[in-house]
Amino acid sequence: MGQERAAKQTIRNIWLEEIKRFNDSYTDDDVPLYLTLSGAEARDIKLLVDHKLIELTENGSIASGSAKRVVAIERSRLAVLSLQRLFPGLKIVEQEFANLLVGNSLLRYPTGAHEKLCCARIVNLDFQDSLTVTEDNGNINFPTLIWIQKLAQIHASSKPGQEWCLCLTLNSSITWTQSIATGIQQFLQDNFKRSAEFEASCRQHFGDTLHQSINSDQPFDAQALSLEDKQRLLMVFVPKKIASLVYLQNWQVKTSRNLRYGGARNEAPMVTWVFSFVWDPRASLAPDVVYKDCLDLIFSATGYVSDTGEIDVSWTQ
Amino acid sequence: MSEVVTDTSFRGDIRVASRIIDFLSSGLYHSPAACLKELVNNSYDADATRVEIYVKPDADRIIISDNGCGMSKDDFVSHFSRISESHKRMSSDLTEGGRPKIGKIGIGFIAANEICEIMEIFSTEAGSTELLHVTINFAEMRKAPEVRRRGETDFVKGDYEGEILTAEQEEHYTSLFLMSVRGEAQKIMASASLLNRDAKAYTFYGLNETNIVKLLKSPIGTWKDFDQYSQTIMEVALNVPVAYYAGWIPVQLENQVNDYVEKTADLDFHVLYDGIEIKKPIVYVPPSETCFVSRFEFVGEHVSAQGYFYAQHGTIKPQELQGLLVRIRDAAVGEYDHSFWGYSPSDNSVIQRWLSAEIWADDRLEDAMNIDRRTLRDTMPPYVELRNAIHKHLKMVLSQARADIYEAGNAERKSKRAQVTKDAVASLASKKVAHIAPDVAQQLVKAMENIDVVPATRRALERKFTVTEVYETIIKIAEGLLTEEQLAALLRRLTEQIGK
Repeated sequence: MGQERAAKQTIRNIWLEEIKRFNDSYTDDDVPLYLTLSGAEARDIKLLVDHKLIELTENGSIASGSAKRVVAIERSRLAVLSLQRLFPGLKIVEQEFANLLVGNSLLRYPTGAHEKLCCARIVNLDFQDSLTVTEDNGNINFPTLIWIQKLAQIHASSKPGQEWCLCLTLNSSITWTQSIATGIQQFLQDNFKRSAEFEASCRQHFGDTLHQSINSDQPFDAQALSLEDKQRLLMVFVPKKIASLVYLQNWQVKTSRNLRYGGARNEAPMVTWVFSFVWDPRASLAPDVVYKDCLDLIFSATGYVSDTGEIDVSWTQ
Repeated sequence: MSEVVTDTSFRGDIRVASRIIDFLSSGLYHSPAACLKELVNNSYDADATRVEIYVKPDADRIIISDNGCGMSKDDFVSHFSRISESHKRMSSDLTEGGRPKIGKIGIGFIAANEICEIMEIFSTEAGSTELLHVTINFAEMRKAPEVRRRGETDFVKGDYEGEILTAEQEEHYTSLFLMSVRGEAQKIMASASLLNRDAKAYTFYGLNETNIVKLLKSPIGTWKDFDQYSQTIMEVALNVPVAYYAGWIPVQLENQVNDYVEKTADLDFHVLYDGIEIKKPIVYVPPSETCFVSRFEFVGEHVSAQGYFYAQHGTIKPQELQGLLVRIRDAAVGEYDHSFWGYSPSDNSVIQRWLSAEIWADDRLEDAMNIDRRTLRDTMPPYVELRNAIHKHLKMVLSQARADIYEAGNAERKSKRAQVTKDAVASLASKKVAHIAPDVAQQLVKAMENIDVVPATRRALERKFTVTEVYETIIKIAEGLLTEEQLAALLRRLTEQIGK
């Protein structure tokens, strides 16, 4: 197992804090505490073990009391074997995450045991890939964000909804076609027009050059942006899009972390978020209020994780 | 028959000789453990030194992975294109590492069809960068025979699809993924106090070796007191060539079975089940120190064998260890046979339950073994010859057990019982009688002092006395020594004691 970069360790510690918070708040849950795309090395699960959030037996297998508190999703059979070697008794669902959610359609949802897994208190989608996007007859879709919308819907199926937390990490590379970039540009411009406050925050976060290129009449070339600007763009677009997808489900999405890291010395440029989904019944009467509350938190949570693992949370980061 | 689909992918049919398919269709394997042991023995035949099995938490998918020699696409295709009676030992009776092959007809992999619908194989050989990946669909097997029939004697067992991936050159392994595990098998293999925390059954899950041995040494009457998960582990471990636990036999007998312990350890075959290293679940805990081992060695015309008979004073627990276990090529044939291959049940029937025997027979007995590796054909000369030899030895062991354990133990027990009675009477005299009627107490103590010197009184003492009988004796003594008033007080006191 290779040495992990310091920035990633910092992010794992952020996840750990969230997991501890939920572990302390929901002691007798019937649903998993933690659903993760841990990968074959399962560093995040190790962290849970080190901090006694998951108990092991005397021979190193997952203790019966902790069985099904943590569930890993892994599609590669050989990675599954590696995971079982590390943690015998670990619950592993062997499939693509999309398949667990029964695909990208908003009409079909998992049932039974899989539905229960999707109700985990903390869902950690630690992707290595960038935000995938598809275009269909002019409609731009983000499968990853649809999965999140479906997860939110599943958590909302009981009333009140079951509070949960999403840890999301993406590679910040952008490979959008021009028409997709233009669609996203349009989406942001519409929101600038709707809220001067949002635009002001974006200007401060993006910097003038990026802000002007987005807020221009000319189509902007997302692929030509610097690695840092791509990160900054996603740091706004992703939380805003998620909030827009779920606020009508009565979720107020609190962006508690909105961080970028990597990009230098051949390290992959990444963006990572921690979103708390808080049940907010105001959405049925005043959805815009809930939505606005969601947006207010996007910028206050921004920051940069340096190569040494320190977090700079100054406003423009 | 294999068909190349692209440069790296292929597909084909699995052909199994019709005689074998008949056996398989008639429910060859009586439990998931029986299937599992086939796969583990397959790993042994692949010269693996380490096999890992992963079942928990819910056995919806089972992994069996070994560090054996692995197989290439050609090995796979040639094996599965024709599984027949003499296939596996066609080239050699020994593995490349020199182990006598346990498998005979190569149906080990096919055993998996009894517990799952789909099996994926990943395998690579040392020195090769090819990683074989094959998915076998067993559903074909459950189709009607006329649909499965291919030619005069063969049936399609299941179709497979394969591809060649890449592996590190130095790697060698075979990993099996049993997917879509069938309902009943899943239930048995997961059983699980893990899923039901209120279950009272004992479980091995999560235990280290020390605590497993501790558990096996506790007075558990039957394996049925364990959860099915652990029963499966024991069934597998009993069968496959794994080592013995340290301290499995009373220390004073160790040197009499050391050669078997060393021989098994030398096989260097380790099986880990959800992280637990499993060893032979044979652990003898004699209720007293009275126990012995009788070595068995037989060289006959049709078969040779050797092993040991262990005898103890008292029933062997758990009951699954009572009887006779026969091994051929280090793998067991079924389980312990409580009848010792049909020995007279009336000859020392109680003492038969005090015995446990393990016999290693040579390859010639294999001819008498049925395809299920669980039963033997009792008309075959090697079987008949070995059975007679075992029965002859058993008769001798039974009579030795009667003389050395039962009768000696009986005398020892009687003596102990007499001492207990003496101590009880002395204690009663000093604690309950002395302060009411010191004379009676003194008389009682005096009477007890020499009671076992005289054979007649000693015999009397060796029987069990009721409390009432002891009190009647006290009263009888008291009547001659005490006044009416004192006697009444003593009676009152004793009556109170009995009431308590």
